[in-house]
Amino acid sequence: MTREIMLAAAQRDHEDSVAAGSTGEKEAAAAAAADPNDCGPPSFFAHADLFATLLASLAPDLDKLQAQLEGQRTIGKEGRSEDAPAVVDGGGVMMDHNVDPATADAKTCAQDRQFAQARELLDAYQEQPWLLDAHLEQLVQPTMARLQVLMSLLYEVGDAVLTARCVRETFRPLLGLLYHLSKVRGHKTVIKFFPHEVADLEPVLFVLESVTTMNKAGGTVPRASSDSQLWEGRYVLLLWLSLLSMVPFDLKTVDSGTETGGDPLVDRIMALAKHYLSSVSKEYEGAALLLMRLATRKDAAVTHLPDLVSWAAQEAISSVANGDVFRQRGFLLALSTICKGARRELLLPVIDKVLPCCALVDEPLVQHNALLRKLLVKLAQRAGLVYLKPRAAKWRYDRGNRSLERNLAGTATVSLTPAQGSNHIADSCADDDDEEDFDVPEELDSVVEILLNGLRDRDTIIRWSAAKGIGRIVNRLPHNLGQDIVLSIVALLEEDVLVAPDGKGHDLSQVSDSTWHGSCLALAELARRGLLLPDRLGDVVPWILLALKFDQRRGAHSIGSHVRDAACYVCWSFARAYAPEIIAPFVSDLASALVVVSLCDREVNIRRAASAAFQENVGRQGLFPHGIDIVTAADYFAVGNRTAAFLDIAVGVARYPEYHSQICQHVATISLVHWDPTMRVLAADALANLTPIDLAYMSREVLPTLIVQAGSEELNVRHGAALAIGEICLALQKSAATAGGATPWGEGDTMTKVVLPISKIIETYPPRHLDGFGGDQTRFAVCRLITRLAQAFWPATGDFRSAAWQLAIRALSQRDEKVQTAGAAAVAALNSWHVRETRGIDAAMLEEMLDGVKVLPNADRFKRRGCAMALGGLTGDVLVRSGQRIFAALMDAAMVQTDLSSSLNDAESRRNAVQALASLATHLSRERQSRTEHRDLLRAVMPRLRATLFAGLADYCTDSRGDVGSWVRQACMHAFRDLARLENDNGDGDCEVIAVAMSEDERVRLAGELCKQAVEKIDRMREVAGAVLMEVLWEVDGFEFEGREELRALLPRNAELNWSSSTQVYTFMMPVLAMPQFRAPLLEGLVVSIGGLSESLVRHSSAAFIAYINSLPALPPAQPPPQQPQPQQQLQQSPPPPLTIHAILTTLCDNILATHTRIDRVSIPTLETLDLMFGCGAVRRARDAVLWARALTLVQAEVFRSRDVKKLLAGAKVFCGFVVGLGREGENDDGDGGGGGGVEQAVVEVRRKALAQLVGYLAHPYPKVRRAVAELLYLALTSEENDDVDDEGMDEEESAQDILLATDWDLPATQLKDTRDRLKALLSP
Amino acid sequence: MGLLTVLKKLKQKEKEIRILILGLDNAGKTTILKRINGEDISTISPTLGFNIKTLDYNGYKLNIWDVGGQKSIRSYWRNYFEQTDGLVWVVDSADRPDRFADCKAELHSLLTEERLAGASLLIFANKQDLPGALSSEEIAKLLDLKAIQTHHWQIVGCSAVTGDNLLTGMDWVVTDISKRIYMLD
Repeated sequence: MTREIMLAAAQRDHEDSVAAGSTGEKEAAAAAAADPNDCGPPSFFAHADLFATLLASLAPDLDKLQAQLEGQRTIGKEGRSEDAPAVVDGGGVMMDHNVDPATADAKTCAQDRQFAQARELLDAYQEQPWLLDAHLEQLVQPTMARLQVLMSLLYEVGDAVLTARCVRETFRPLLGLLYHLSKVRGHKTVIKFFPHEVADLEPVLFVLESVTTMNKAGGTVPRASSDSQLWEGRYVLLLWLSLLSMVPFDLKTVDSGTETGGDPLVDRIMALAKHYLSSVSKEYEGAALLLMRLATRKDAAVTHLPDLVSWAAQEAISSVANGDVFRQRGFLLALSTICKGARRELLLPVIDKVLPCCALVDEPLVQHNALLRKLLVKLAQRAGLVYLKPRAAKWRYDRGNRSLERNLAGTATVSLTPAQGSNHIADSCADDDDEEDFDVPEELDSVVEILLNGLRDRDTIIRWSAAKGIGRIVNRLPHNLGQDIVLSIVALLEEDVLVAPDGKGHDLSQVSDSTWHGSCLALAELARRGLLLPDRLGDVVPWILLALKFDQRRGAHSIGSHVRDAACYVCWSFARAYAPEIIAPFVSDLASALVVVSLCDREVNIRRAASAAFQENVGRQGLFPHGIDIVTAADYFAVGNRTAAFLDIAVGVARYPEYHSQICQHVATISLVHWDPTMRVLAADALANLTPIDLAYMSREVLPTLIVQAGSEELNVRHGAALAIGEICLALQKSAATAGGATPWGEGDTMTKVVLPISKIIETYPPRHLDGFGGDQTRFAVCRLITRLAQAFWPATGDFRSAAWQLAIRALSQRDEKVQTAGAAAVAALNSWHVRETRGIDAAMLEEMLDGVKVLPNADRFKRRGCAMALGGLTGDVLVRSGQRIFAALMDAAMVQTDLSSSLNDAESRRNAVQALASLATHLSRERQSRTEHRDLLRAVMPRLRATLFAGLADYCTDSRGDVGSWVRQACMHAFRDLARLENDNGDGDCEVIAVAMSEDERVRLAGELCKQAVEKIDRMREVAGAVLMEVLWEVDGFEFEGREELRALLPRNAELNWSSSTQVYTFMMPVLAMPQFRAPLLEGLVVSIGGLSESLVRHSSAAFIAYINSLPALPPAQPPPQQPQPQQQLQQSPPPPLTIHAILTTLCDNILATHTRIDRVSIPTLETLDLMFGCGAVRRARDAVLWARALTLVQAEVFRSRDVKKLLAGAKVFCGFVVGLGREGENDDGDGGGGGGVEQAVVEVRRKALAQLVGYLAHPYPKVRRAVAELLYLALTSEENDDVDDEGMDEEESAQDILLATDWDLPATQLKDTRDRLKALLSP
Repeated sequence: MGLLTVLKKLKQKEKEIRILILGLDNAGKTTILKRINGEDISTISPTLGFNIKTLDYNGYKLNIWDVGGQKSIRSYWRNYFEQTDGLVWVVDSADRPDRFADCKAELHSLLTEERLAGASLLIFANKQDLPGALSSEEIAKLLDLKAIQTHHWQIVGCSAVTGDNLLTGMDWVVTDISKRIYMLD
């Protein structure tokens, strides 16, 4: 007989037939079903095999186990005795006894990794877990089938120790994976795929008992130690057991234990579940579910449920006294699970015992634990539902008949009017007697109180839980009580609301954001269920409109986005709940509020939420003005970008008169005073875009308020107002210009209403706003305002002109760079403004700026920076009049000051000066008026300008911030690019401008510098240098020099190269070393990278360098070289001699080391590079004793008297290279002879000197140096010994090595002098 | 737990199905919607935007979106494709012969929309009550439905005015979708 039962809970229908389908269509359906994309974006099929692989990887173990268990079972059957388990265990049946534990561990680790990978894969589905549904069966069932068989075998064998170990070692990964599935998809869904045969009940119970550390009085000894990693497995087993507990048979009939006198099954399961209920890990959830399933069984409900409930309630109350959070958590969860799952009739008798638990909410233990509060709110709700008969409130608002079938069944003549909804209410109120018939128990009061208090909880999850609870409870309440609750929620909103200071509207600054959020959630829940009756809408909507813009300042930021979000939910629920005519009175308010929030909120999720709510309203209500167009323009994706939403979409929507004033008001009064400065800037820009829609509105309604606000004591207000006034004025002027008028400032009363008040702001700007707290922001805004006014051809009235100049100039000496930039922009704008008015910049102002950039002792470095920046923005006549002086001042400022105190060496000033020079040069060449004068000026300054820029390229100044010179170098590179572009612009046919072109030497020099910077250590610099190099090489026609074609061949135009990536750039640039004109600069840059600090940079640059020099010939061949394969070289008449290692080494010594003596930035890396070249044998292969001697001298000079440990160590390594890295005399590894005896003599000399230097270091004052040198020497001697074992000096060296090893080099240097001298004697030949 | 999360959860929990009704203008989309919503169908003018109706069927909550069919609006259809589970394509069976080519082109280009991938497709051959209406087989041929490999599809002849076969069609589309999305319940 088969005992397989399909449980009602897990009924599934997997038939694939398509209703009423033809055959062709069935095929199509099958094709579509097989299409992995069928189920939504991320396809799972690609990974399905991974899970199969995982299971297969465990299969050998499982098979082995199964075979062993089957064998064991036979033994057990033959003679089952009391001590059988012990024998089994002692007999070493368990699989891994003969396996080395380490191997087993490694195997487990590998398995764990695989499974961890699978878990990560599943995690990707956390957001849309239902996508897994189609594959769950495939995932769960093979695994469960396997476990099912093994567990029943284990049960038959009956060895608890063995079982516990199996679970811990063999099943754990599988159970873990099942747990993870339940975590991602939810246990309710996953559990449906678990086997649910009656026969499984006892095995699973047995397994779980075996792994339980329970110490039962019944004699079960503590078994598997509490295994922290096993909680997932225990949880899954509890879930499985909870499913099995639903078998519809009397458990007594399946209980095999009753015959042998053991505990009844129900009691065993109950004990187990109670045990796990107080578990600290997730098992308590499984245990609560198990308890509920068990206690709601037909055969257990009557006997066990009341006791269980009283027990749990009592324990919950008593555990509070103990302060045991974990226990209480379990009991509360069990109670609320039971209240949810058990039938109402069963619960009614005991529910009074549950209610006292709800009073625990005031206990301090609960007050401080969000989870406990949530469980209590849940429990209160469910207890409340038990008190009330399940029914849908008759009084609820119903929008009409919504059943598709009924609608279609009612034949053609039936037509429901939309007004049916309101009739419906009337009907329900008519049978009031039925409505009010049942009485509501008093206990419900406390339940409702807990829920209403839950709405104001400080934790979101509790408010949300309470809101849902209120929705469910009200659904079962009579009309008047339900409405009372609605009123209480409105009362919650009114709590702490003050009257706004102006007497109109509300002041929400004192209300609790939590309360508002919870109340909105509750209202949304009620509306969604039709429990918020239409006649209450008038009470609620005004609050919702306020909630949509809820924003409470908290110091430097604000809170309230959650309230706005919940308000959107309410609006969304309204759209679904009510018929259009009910919403109609509120449409215009709701529509404009939603549109404004969807476009002008700061948070993206709120904009999207409002947009979703608006769309829902448009579609269902159809009343929202221009709804379709707005939904189209402001959809989910469009509102995702805040800038676009403010500047484009909001402006587009504002063209509809219904929304214009709302949007303008929101932007001008809320966004413009927002705590986030970027919002204020955005709002000002948005106002500029809004201006052309209605000029009069802006100048009459918006500007006057802003003018008042510009002097506000509050930083946010005055900042936003100043920004906005400028933008609006410029927009007004532009609109007037488009309309054909010159400026709008003279029209009507504009002069008195707009121009004079705004000029007044500038004229009398309170200095305290500029210097006090937030002064930088204010200054920035005021400079912006001046800039915009100047651009708008502001009429110069009264003192406006001088006041504006003063403000702009003062801004230049501020510390904040943003302010300086704004000040410089204002100066530039004022200067052009004067140009329009045919008045030049004041001589005094110019002098002040020229003074500002001067390099004087005690000069203010911030002022220098700002003035340099501002001078670069000057245009027009002033350049003709004072151009020479401006250029001269800037060029002075761009130079590194070697002879002055470091405070004058300001990298930012130099950078700004260089940038200013470049922009002035650009101005001059572009200016169309008075071309000759400008060209003359340009021609006159150009040579010095280029010299300045070249000097700037060598600016390697550092300070505490690091390589600050890099800013200057970067500016110089950009400046050169601009100059090159100028040549390009004006080069053709204009012979006069050719005069400004560079000489060919300068071009080569520039290309070399760029090559150098392109391989230096800072990623950003390589990026800039690479880009500029490619541009001048390929895009600038006039940039010609000898070898350009060759360089172009090496650096092709379309090279897809990421210059900032050290992995690519070095290999790419290496061949350029072959070009003699670029070798030295390129090598210098390279050396700096090789000796750099960051590991990846050093690795990639040295690897590329070594690989390249290893590919080179050592020395130039005696005969002319054979034809090179490169076509470029064939083209040339006499190909240059191919690059050799010798040439590289020569360049390194003569062009880098010799020219950077004592410049540590380059010289230390050069030493490191030399060491690298010794290491790869490159120095030896160069075979030039003269060069070696020269190199040694240079290195000696470099480290002479140095106190830099880094340099000393680098030098020591190079000396060591000289000792062992030059090859032995007579050795001839390149086959081209080592030269004559004189050369050998020279080599010996070099080696001797180097050795002497090293030995000298052994008594160096720095212990670190002594230690390192001793080590180096020892290694050097050892390697020599290996080279030629039969050297006659072997004994001496042997003892030298002993001394090196035996000496403690950390002793004071004075004590080591003797040792050093002994070594010296030993080692000298 | 913002609104967007709530909506996503609600859709799952309340077994919501989103169905889009599309088709050329004057195919009878709004009439079908109003008929299945039990509303008066005597006065219907061209739809200029869209209507959403919610209906219950077999325990599912159908959110039915009816979007206008005029040529000028068709470019907006794309806005409504998000999270669409089912597509109801309405055809005027008694339409002018030249419009069927238009209808076929629109339908086939619609099905290439990425965001409609996997949606079940029901074709209503509407206005079967009119004299001269083509049968659903003839329309299937005219629209080359056999060529559709990417979607489950079904064609049902119906009449929005008499209500004939509307239930059959809606039943097919809901069953097909629910098998796909809510297979577990």
